[in-house]
Amino acid sequence: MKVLYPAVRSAIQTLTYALLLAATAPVIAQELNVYSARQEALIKPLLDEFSAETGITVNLVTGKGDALLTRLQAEGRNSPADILITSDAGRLVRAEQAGVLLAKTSPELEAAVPAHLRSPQHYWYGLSVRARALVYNLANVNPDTLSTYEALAQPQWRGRICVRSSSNIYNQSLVASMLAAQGPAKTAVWLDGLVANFARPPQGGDRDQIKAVAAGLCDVAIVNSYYLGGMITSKNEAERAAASKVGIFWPNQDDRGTHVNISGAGVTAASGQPELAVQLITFLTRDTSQQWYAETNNEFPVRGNVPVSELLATWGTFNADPIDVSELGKLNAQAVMAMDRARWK
Amino acid sequence: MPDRLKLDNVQVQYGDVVAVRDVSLSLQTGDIGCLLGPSGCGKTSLLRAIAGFETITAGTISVENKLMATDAVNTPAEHRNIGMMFQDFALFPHLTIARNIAFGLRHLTSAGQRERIRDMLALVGLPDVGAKFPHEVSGGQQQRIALARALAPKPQLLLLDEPFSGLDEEQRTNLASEIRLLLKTQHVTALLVTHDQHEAFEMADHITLMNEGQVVQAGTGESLYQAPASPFAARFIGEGSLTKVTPSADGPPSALQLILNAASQLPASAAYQVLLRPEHLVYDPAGVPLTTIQRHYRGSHYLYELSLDDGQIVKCIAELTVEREPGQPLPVRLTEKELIVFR
Amino acid sequence: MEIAPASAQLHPSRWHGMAWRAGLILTALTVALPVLVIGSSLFTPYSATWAHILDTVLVDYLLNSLALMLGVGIGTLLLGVVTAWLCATCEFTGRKFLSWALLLPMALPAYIIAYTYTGMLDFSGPVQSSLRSWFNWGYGDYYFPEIRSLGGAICMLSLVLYPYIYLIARVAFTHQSGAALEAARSLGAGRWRTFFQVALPMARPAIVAGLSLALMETLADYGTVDYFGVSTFTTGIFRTWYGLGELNTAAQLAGFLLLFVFILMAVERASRNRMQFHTTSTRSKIRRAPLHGPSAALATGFCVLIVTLGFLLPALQLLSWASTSWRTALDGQFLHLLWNSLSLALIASLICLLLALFLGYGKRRYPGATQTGAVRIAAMGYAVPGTVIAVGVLIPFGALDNQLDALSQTLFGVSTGLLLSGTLVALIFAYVVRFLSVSLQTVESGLSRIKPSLDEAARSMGSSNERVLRDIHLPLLRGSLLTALLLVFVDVLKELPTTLILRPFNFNTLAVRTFELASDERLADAALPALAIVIIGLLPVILLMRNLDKGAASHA
Repeated sequence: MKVLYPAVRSAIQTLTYALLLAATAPVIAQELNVYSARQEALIKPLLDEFSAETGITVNLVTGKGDALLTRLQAEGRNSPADILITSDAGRLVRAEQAGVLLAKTSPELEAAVPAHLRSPQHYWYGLSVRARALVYNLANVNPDTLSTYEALAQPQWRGRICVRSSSNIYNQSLVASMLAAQGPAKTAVWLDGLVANFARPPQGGDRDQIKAVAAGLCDVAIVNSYYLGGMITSKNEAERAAASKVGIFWPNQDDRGTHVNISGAGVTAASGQPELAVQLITFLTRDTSQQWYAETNNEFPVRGNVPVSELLATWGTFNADPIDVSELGKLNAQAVMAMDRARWK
Repeated sequence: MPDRLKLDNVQVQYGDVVAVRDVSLSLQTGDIGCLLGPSGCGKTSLLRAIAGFETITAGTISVENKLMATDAVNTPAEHRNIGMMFQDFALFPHLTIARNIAFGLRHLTSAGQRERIRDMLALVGLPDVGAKFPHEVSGGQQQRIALARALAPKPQLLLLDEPFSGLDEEQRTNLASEIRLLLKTQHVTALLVTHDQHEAFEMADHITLMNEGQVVQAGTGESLYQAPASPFAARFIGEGSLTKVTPSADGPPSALQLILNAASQLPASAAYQVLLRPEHLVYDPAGVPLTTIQRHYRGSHYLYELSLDDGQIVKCIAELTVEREPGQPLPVRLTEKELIVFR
Repeated sequence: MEIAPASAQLHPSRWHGMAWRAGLILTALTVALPVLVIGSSLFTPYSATWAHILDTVLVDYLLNSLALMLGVGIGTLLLGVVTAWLCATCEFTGRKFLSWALLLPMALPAYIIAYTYTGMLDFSGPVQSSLRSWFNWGYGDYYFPEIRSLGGAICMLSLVLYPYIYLIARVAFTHQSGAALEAARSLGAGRWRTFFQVALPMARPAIVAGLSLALMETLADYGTVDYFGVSTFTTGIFRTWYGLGELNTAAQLAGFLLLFVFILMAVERASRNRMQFHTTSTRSKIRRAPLHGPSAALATGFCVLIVTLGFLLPALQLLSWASTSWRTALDGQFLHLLWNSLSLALIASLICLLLALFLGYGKRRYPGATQTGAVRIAAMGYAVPGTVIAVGVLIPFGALDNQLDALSQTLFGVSTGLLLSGTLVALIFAYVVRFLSVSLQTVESGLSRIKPSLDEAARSMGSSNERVLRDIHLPLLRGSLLTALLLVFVDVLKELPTTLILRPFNFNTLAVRTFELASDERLADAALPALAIVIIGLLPVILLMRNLDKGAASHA
């Protein structure tokens, strides 16, 4: 039915671009439109590669996951987006629940993405894995004293822990995994203990926590591992110096494993070309793409058999919490409320 | 008794431009003085220097024998106890009229302030406007309020900067005499700046005529009018015409000479100027005919502008029964024998 | 006197007036649409999450937001009014240079200045590291104020927001009647009392206009407080949306924020009462009093200090970061980013200016409760976080587009798709919603300095409304108009969240690029686009200052 649509739309595009005196209104037969919560630098090169291989143009808008989701909802069935990419499972679960995703599957995708890292109903698929690890001060902390997330609530860590705000999705997802593993009552107690152990009110990003550990302001920080990777390979000397003063520790290796989240993608319900969209998602999960996440951003592949980057190899292998990431998404709101109650800022 | 205000050789300078040069004057307690002159003559600069808004570069200003300003000393305006009324009244738009008046009454208790505000408003005949804002009353009322505000702190001296220029003609004459009466009954010593001689005559006991930064002549209105000491004063004060007289060698005498024959003690030879005021010439059927240029209706009489042979204009007052159209001749005769002459 | 027939025909001028009024209300309501969409959420059912929010975090949000507003209010007033007064009424070494340099901090987005100061003053930053190595201190051996705190956020926001007050107040002080100040002194008031009781109150509409811009910007700020870990009402809105996934509850929180702003504005207007602030005269200009000795040094020092803290230091930090990263950041896309940012800012600021002029003048010419109310609601977008505005634009535009599409399908059997959603039209509309208040405040403050008698004089000479606007107001408003244009231009240049959500495919701006890199904690890489924002922001600042100075000279 979309007869008038491209013409009128491109007319408006041309009009607005003409307003900007930038007369670039490409008209290309095959196009895919992507809404991505992964930043441009962390997705565009792959999309360009896909375009080069297939001749399909890929248009991109990046933004925060929930904002993109709201945009999808507001645009409804006429949304131009074909694919939604987010940087955590929770947003994908929300998109699935909001009915803006289309269940699509292919044997290739099923094979590429392990079951716990994709939607049970085939609405979305994990692209890369992000692990929430512990970073400790090499001078002040014996790694043997570290064990689990749970143990960080013990009194011996009073005033020694740095972590960012509870508004951050990775913390929310960690607490969601704790809720799944330990139940609400034990999680509440754990949260109280953990918050009491904070060295300072939560502030800054994950790199700031690593820097604080390096400077001795605190001894242990809970951060996503790729931030440490980014600092080790940074062009900024101060960042490299800070990174050299800390070590990384994978918690909960003796039980459920280190908490991981995913970045993932799903086909939108409004997509006019779901098959093409599946083709792109499949491309994003293939070996070379998986390796690219590792090399560019020190994220882990969704599959075990893909070789990781040199840097990631030096951190050794670890067991990841095998919980279904869609469970984490469902527990997200509950996790935020639990953190509110524990006064985790 | 010392002079209330005394200026000695005051000079005001902006960079290289001398705005006021070597001015001396004094004002007795209870007197109303006036600085009169055309715009740009330095009168406003002088007034502002007395108020403390300009520094002087030479001379002294003292009030009640207290030195206010020299080239080295400059008492800040707020410590001079000199009130000032501004051309545009400068009422504070964000304060009620009562609070405008109370502005200078900080030394009083609030009861004292209320009483003084009431007195001042009664004095200027506006007892009920205290709660209003300045923009809510008329221009003439604003002016009286500005006066009330300036007088409220009982200043040693009141300065008025072109106080009537913002008002219309009728308000102007009424207010001028009204304010003079008010200042006199309150024994206020005041100095007024104006370019309007009528205002000066109406208000002031002493007038200091200024031109190009200097004092030209000082005295009462009458003395300035009757005995101008310079051609400038003669031209500036009154409606007279300073008329050039050149003795003609031969031929018939000019109309001017025929008119001036009635005067006494005129110089015999050489060129000179004579001041002819309108009231010096009257209509006389047997007089010297001059050509009518324009006729102005002045209510009780006509003022005629008449042309001499050489094109110079003289003015003449005539009864309403004497009617001439422009171009028609009007015969006139000199009534004043003692004329002012400048060589 | 002609008496119009009862209903047969309206007098042309009455038609004219009605057209103006209708246009005014319609425009205002269109611009107010997103705000109304958000506000209407207050009338939707309240979810169970509210009980949780009330129990746990709401008090924190409120207290922190109030403290932040109070702090930034005091900070910006102090910096803005003092500098404006000094530059407008005093003469001291470097005044000419400083009077425009004081505007420089405006070019710095609050979140960027927050990044730079954190980089410098953080525990692991160069200042504290040097202190530790010089004195051989360790953690806890010494006291150092925590930059990432409520106090830090107040300082950051004050440093970049004071120019709003400075700019508007300086114009007001410059145009103030010198006679009123002299009258105060002749009534025995010293310099300080004259300042506090006459100059300051007379400049009040201007100062309040600037202050309300600064405070609304504070309420809308998300980047700084989020980075500093201060939970304010705004971070709460996002937490509720992103964390709890409750867009409606988040919108309701935003609705209460709007309500709060509305009440605040109403209180201010009520307190002005019958006071009037027209300059009493333009005849007596303020003459700048030369300062000497210690007071001159103090004035120069104070202004230099503020420029250094608010601009020089952060800019140098950015420069030093950029020097390590510019090779990778300066790619072919960079020029494109520049162009996008520039042209968007220019278009949006021009549209805002035209609308502000239309609304401001219309309101003055045809006053009325309906018009005033509509304009006031239209101007509230500034206090709303950009993301919330974006949602307020997304929802009605999406609905409109889909309705049009459905209509076209039933009537013609063809789909129109989304006509406006996802285009630059939607984005620019959102900018107008968000920043109209800035230009409106400035234009209205300028209009308030023009006596109504001027309008009446011109109209009595047979000028139409349009001619009064063109021939009387526009020339007199030149300074205010330029100010309005500049403020919006710089604001759009810095704008991030709205752009992020509403932009079309493959469309980036400098602010988006800066944010993406910074949010990935790659501050060094973010430095170049950030620096570009600052540099482009400087151009209109310089232009404006030159023009204001010229205007002042030609009036003198």
